[in-house]
Amino acid sequence: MQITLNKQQGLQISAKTREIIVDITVYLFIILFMYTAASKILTVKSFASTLAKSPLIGSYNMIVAYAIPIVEIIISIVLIFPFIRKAGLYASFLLMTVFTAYLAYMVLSGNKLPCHCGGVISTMTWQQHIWFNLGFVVLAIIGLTINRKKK
Amino acid sequence: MNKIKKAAFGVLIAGLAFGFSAFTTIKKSSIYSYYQVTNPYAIPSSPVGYAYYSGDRCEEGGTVCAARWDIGTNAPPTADGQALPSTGVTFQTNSVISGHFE
Repeated sequence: MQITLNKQQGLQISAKTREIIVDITVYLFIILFMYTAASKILTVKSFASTLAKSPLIGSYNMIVAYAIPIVEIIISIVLIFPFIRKAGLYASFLLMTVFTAYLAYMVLSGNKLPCHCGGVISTMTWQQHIWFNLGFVVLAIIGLTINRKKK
Repeated sequence: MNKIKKAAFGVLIAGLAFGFSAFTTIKKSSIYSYYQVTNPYAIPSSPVGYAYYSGDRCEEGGTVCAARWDIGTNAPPTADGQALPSTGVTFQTNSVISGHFE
């Protein structure tokens, strides 16, 4: 009896579809980062005041309040250029993971939670914010995986 | 789409996102956030009990911590603790931040 081994092919996606998925991922990150960066910069005092309440940030609040939107803008610029967007996707993944870890720590640590997060997310609860961020972490993983397969 | 077109589209998206955010964040110079300092369960659209404070003063628990108000031709707040003028002010819908004043 002949045994035929079927090589696992996985989900077959055409090169064109992969390219479109990566493009959409990149544009979603650009929208997210630019939208939230503008909101943070324009309300930087309020944002810094919120960060000052965090036990992890405390007196570094002003530095962090300016650093976060600047990093978001830099990552958006990196994502814009197709030849370096892979680095941008890694940076996006890292930043969203850090944000999510921070939110999870704040929720799980039992610290008193400031209500106002600013920008897009000001109407979300902290738990909703974690799920929102996790969605973008997953999106970054998808983008990176497909981008690697494209090569 | 070639790489130049992708980059150009990326710049367009980035500009629109930044611009839209700026537009929605600072819609009008006469609109300020006021905190409900007396009753976190007050009717949000009633101007009673609101005062101006800079920064984020909200904590969890309560239905109304802060809301945005258009103060029209009233003088802009210059110091923390200034009460919301009782006349000539307009409540901004969907601007309520839940919680209570610290």
